[in-house]
Amino acid sequence: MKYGYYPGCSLEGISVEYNHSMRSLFDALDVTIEDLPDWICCGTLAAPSISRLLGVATPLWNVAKAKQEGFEQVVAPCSACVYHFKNAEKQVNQDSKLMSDVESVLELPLNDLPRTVHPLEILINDGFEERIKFSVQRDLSNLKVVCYYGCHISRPAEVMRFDDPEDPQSMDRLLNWVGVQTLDWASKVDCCGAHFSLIKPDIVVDLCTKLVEAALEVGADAIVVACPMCHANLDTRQEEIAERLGHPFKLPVLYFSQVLGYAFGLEPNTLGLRKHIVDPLPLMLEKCQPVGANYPSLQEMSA
Amino acid sequence: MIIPKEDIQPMNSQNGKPVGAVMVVGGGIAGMQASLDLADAGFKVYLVEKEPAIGGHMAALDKTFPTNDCAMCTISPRLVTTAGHNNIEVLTNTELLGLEGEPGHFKAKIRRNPRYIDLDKCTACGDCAEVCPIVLDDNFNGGLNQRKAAFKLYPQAVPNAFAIEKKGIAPCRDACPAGQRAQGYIALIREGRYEDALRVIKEDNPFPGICGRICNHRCETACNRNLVDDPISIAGLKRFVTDQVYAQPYEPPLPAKRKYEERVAIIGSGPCGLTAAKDLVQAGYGVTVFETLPVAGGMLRVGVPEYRLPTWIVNREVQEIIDLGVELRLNTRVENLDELFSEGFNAVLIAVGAHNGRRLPIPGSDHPDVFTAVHFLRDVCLGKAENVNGRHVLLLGGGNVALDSARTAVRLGAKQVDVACLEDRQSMLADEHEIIEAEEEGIRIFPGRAFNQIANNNGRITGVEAVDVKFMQFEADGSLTLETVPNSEHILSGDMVFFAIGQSAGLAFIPEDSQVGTTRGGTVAVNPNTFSTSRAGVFAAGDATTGTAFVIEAVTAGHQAAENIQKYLLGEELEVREQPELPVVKMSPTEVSLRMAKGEIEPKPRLRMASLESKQRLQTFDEVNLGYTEEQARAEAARCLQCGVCSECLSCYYKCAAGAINHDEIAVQEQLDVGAVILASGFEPYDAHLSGEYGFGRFPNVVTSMQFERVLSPSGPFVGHLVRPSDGHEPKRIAWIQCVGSRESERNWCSAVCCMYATKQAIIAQEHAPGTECTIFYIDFRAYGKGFDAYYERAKEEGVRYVRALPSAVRQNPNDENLIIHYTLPDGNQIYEDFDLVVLSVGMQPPNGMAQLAGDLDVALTEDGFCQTTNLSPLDTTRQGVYVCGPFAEPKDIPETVMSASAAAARAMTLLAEGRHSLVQPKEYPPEIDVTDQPPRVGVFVCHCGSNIAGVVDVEAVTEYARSLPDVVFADNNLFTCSTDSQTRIQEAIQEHDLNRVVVASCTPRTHEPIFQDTIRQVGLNFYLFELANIRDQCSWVHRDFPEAATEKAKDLVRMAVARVRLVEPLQRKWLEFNHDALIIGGGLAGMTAALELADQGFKISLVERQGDLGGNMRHLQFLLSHADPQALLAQLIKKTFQHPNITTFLNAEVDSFEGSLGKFKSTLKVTDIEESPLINHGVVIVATGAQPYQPSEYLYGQDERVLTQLELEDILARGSAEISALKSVVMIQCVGSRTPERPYCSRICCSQAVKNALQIKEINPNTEVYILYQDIRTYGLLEKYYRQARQEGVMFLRFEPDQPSQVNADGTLQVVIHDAMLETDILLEADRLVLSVATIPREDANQLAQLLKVPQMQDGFFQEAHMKLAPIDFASEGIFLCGMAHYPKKAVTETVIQAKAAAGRAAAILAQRELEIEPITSHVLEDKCDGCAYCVDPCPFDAITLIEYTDEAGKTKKRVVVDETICKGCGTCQATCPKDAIYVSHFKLDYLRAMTMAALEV
Repeated sequence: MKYGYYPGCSLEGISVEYNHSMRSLFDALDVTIEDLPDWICCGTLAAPSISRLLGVATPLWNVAKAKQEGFEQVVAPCSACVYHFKNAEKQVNQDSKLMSDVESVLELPLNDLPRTVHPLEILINDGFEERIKFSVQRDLSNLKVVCYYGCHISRPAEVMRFDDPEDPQSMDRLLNWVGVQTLDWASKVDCCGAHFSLIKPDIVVDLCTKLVEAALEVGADAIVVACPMCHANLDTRQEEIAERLGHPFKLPVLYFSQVLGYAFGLEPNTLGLRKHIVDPLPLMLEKCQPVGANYPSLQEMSA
Repeated sequence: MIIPKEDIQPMNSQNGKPVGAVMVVGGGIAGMQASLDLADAGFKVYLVEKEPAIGGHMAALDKTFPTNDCAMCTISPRLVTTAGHNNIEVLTNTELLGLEGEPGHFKAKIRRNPRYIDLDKCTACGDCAEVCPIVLDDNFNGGLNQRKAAFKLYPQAVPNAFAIEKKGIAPCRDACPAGQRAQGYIALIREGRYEDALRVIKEDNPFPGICGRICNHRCETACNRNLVDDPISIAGLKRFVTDQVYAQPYEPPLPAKRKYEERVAIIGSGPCGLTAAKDLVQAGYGVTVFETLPVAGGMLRVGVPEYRLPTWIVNREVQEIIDLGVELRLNTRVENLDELFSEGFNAVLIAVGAHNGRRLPIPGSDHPDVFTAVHFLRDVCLGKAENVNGRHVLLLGGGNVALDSARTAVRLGAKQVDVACLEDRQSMLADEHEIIEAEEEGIRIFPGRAFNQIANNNGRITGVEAVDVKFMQFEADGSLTLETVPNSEHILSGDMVFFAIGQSAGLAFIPEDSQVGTTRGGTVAVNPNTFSTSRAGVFAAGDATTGTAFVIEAVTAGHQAAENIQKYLLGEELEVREQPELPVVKMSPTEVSLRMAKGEIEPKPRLRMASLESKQRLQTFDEVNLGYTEEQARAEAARCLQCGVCSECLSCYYKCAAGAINHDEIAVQEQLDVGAVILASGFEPYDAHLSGEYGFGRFPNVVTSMQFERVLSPSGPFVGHLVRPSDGHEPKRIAWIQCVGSRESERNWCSAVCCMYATKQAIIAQEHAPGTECTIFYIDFRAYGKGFDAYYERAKEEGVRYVRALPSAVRQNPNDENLIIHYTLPDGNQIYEDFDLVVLSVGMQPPNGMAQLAGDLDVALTEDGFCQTTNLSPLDTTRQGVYVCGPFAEPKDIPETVMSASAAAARAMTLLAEGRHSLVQPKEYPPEIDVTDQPPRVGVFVCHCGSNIAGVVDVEAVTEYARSLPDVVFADNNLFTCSTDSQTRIQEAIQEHDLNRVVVASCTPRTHEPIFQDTIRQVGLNFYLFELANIRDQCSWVHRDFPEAATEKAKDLVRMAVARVRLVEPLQRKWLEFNHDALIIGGGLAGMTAALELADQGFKISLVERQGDLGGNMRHLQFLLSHADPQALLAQLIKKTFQHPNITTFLNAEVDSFEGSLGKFKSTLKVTDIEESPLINHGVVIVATGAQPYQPSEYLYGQDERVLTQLELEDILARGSAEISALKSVVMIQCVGSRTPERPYCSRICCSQAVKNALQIKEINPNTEVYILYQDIRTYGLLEKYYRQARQEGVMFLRFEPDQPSQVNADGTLQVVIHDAMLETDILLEADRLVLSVATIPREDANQLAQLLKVPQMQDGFFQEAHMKLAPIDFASEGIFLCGMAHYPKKAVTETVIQAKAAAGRAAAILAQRELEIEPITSHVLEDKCDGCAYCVDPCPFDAITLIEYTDEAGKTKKRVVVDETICKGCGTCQATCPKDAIYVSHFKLDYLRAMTMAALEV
């Protein structure tokens, strides 16, 4: 399988640590990913608000180019990007006029496009279970986290076609494979309010407070996310949240790729663990043990 | 376009008379009602039900709205009557497959699926369920508890019998050559029943201890659990069982009985030979086994090292076969087959195995220090092996024999042991764990070598010269393709070399002239189907015919060989049992992940067996694997997914004392001749998993409404205790979410019942646990039925909280498993509210599988999947002769379901009228026992009624007390006395104890007395020798909080009943000829429809209409939502009515007088302009007098001509488009005159009428603004789609609260000010027309008719039916029926037509009878006591008594009264008035009543 990598704007900016950890993770798993040449912004909310054509054409330009390059799948770590890609594809597939319009503005054919997927989809669906289990170098079995999926990993279900829209499990399973305890909690698919970050930050703080409250309530050591928007909101707003809650707290927010990478024994710098507002390293150092008695041996796992 | 089927006349004689039988598909309340009506009307009914019991969804309900009657109590009499009706054949576990032929002459193809329990033999004792080890979710209880694979659908199930659920063959069993029922013995292990488990194993395999250790267990490879985590450790569990059982001292089995003279010789005592020996000796043959070696067991005994398979296990399992009576001759080599035959054996089985080790033909292979591994192993087992101590042993070969030998050599002290083989490491044939363990024991593996020669130095072996293999492959013909690496020759050192490259059979005893052929491969040649060799009477099986294989194959071959030898000896084909063709239950990954998502399967890896440390192993031949502990084994067994459901472990078969179990039952297809088919397939509750946002299946405390019914039900999983599933705590805060699976984009209909059942559940929940806070989240509250709004108001008064909001999500608080409902209030406030339990009010879906069946039957469905019907006959499907009723046509509640069932029955009766009575027989009873001179012998039966009685009254104490009463010779108690098995017990008690009087202390005589009367009649007791003590309705229910006092009262009631029953005398029923005509009052849609339906069946009808023309309210109806033209339909109907030869129509006429009773009514008519009053004799009467619109005074109606009613608007719409096109704005106000304090009911039809007219306006002019001001939009059922359509077309719906009515003023323009309840602000609407949706009210003179007919009215003036749920068409007085708007507002046209046809059906069920049976409870005059005072004459409410003059013996003229028994209802008024005790009511004589009173007072 030849995977094309679409980092998207966030991963080049506010979430370089997601980018680095994602690339290191694929590296550690011996998966070759190649950056899409000349990729452009997915258009996010801005493009569709100007015109339907623009909103659809921007993401599709990337996939159409990816196809020219011979990629079979495009991996996009930002779940908002994945949504825009998948949605654009669905739109043109349902509307042949739109498809031909897009083809004529892009001057690229849109048939048999590569699928765009979130990295979680690859790791869960493409048969990496054994490899991931075998790659564990650090024992994280004392680490208790909640997985926060947010809006777009699995929804809208008819667009994303991945995982259970109301009760997604993919990130939990992935972390379980490397021994991390994942806790059930009430808010795994609630919205963090990302779209209102700039215009109505109050709403965002409200929503994030609820998320943090729910995570603390079940006793999570950290929140694990798979989207740069979710991460930014939850990591940067903890002072305001603490004000609402009326008590101070520190709740590290990690990308699943960082947790996996850490379990694989990768270095904190490689994983960008020092790039967060709420420093996760003390937690990781505290919870992490070398592979030992409490952890199933490789042989046992292979049996 | 559907052609109306109105014109179907009774079948003409072209095909002969139609078949007088009807098939009713579906045994729910609709199916039962239709069946009963048809059966009463003289038709044979096949009631087809796919479940093992009838009852449908209603049987699962707790209570029913709006009367809060217990659903089971109301349905139970129907269940029993249906099952007991002489004309109804209930076919459970049966499906309709297809239909051929013409209406009146169908051939219905059905499949009767196996129940595996004989209905006639099953006593419902429950022993099968008791011993069944398969535990699964009880679907009847919504999966809230569990049941067994052998089960009864519900406690009161009819037929009262168990059934066994099978899904198919588990893949483990399918994968096993011997067909081991692994799922069965695993379940028995989980239950700790090890003897049973061993029995199950041994029935298929005599070597469980052996196979538990050394089988290659293909079952585990096939195990569905592979898709979840690891397969079940089936072999380990099998071994565990033997470990457990064999730990007990050995007890030899009883020798098998010899049945046949014939003797069989078996050569070889390996697994194949011994299996055959066991089968044959058990079949009754003489069996002798010949064994060359000094020990029996073959390879099992001498080919497997001790550390893998201890000798004692082999010995024990062999001994058990020998002890069945097999003769074993050890150390005996058979030299000649002829000798066996001359010794008197009739058949020979060659099962010598493959014991000869092969060697490679390479130089040096005949060196004395070169051995074969198989001989080495054998010699070790026999204690005479070559000494390997201190030697360097080199094994050539990569299979299990090589590894076995290597590890044996290690244990015998070899200095070094190496294994070299051709295959690469991954392809080695030995089990992986064997290789790993060998390596742990220090054995070196040299894979990928080919061997050139044995290397030696001066005669002493130094090793083997080997080359590296580059490529190798065995071809299909067994030859080897080999490519070696050039110049890779090297020496593998060793001083002893063992070949372990395979074995061949030792066939030296088969000389050329023995007539038994062999193959080139050195095996015996056999016919693989018969196992016979080329010589008659000589059979061969096992490794000797196939080459080396596994034990389980040898066992299988042994079984098959034995079977074929039997065939041979019997000289005939052995009868092949017809066995069910069950599918193999292979799960798909999708199915598994779905079940995992639902939480049905939880990942839980296989439990590992402990094993010896490698250091310990080297010292000893002790078993390496130590087996499971009991705890481990049961935990491992609990991982089984029970793929096949029933595992055929046969526990039930051995347990059932009645011999009712038959696991070989197969599905049978049959054809039945029927004239018509009624589809009463019901509905399917919406699968709440699909609404993932509400967390059903994830959160244990989110339940569906069907589950909640079971939670509340006394026979439910929590025996009626209101607790939540997660922790069994009583929920304090319960929320209902409405419209789950209804009113959605994909399910664009309203499920019609959920608002009311949620309200009922809330009320009942509060009754269960006062103080429970109940909250109902709803969109519109749809209380549109009779008595519904009053019920809704009552719920609000009782504290049920209604929140108008559609929650967006339910989340679970993981800490306490409480639920958080997220919803938005009208003001935009977001609320997160905590609840302990959430009930999802799931909607109705078309029944499962109906899409397929409808296709097969050629019956069209709507796009939503409901059955397609026509407006004018909403019972007719698109196929003639096939009718539909109940929610399969449209979501509906129970009364409407019952109506449609009677109506569908009427349609079938009409079609088949000429075939009536052709296929039915009267019910036969045994001759009556004469009890006249017998002293009373009373039996008392006290009922628990589940927990209805026993939850309050101490039933045991009452029973014990009953035993102490005079003349009581027998007393007993039952869980449900009305269940079929309890009734059988009553009959047995009557016969056993010569009872001549019976008392049942139970629910109520209202529903149950006739059932028990029939029970005793069936064993020859007159049915009046019965008394029912009402200890439920009048005791346990009303004294819930005083159990002790209630128990005392129950005793009192029983004592009174016994006191009375001791005195009662038998009475004889009488048969009466009667009038078969009908009078129908009201010539509107309802009256005409009922008249035509009856007239088409051949009955004569008098139709009375007060107006000068037929048509009633329908004459004002201009449009229908379905776009049919109501006036065209009406004209057609009127024409047919006038033309029908069986209908006499009286216009301008009213009923003037009315007298008589069922079967002999007499009415006179008052006809305008005619002096003479026509007299009509009739057997029944149908009231179809309709209703009228409310005349409003509100909103300037009558003062401003721009204010109209909806009907007036319809007239304008009908006049043409110009007037409407000119309007800019039309405002409609709903509930004018409805839902007010004076008239608190909902008029049901106005919402859809407003929507209909709004759509008409929009069709004419889309720019005309239409506003509908409403409280709740009540477009129930399939009307919902029109509501959506109206919104889509721009009709504006504005909601107001009833206490904030809109203001209208007409200063120039017409202005309506509504206080919008959503926006909480006043909105001013300019209206060109204001249209009032006015109430439908009873006819103003309805009370006069009510008095004339002596029938009751509701508080609101509509007529009151006999029972709101189950008798919605009957009046309490027999022979009088009700239909149309006289009952309640009805949707035009369908609902009126349904109820009218239903009334026709109910009437026909009586009119079709040849004679009427009349009750003998009437008053009687004691002539010598009566002095003619006539005090009784006037009080008689039925005018049954007249005063006569007569001449006595002395010639004196005297007076006395006489009673017309056919009119007398036995009410007893006369008895109470008579000063001389000269008139009495039979069965209610004063003596009886006195005895009861005395008993009550205990004097």
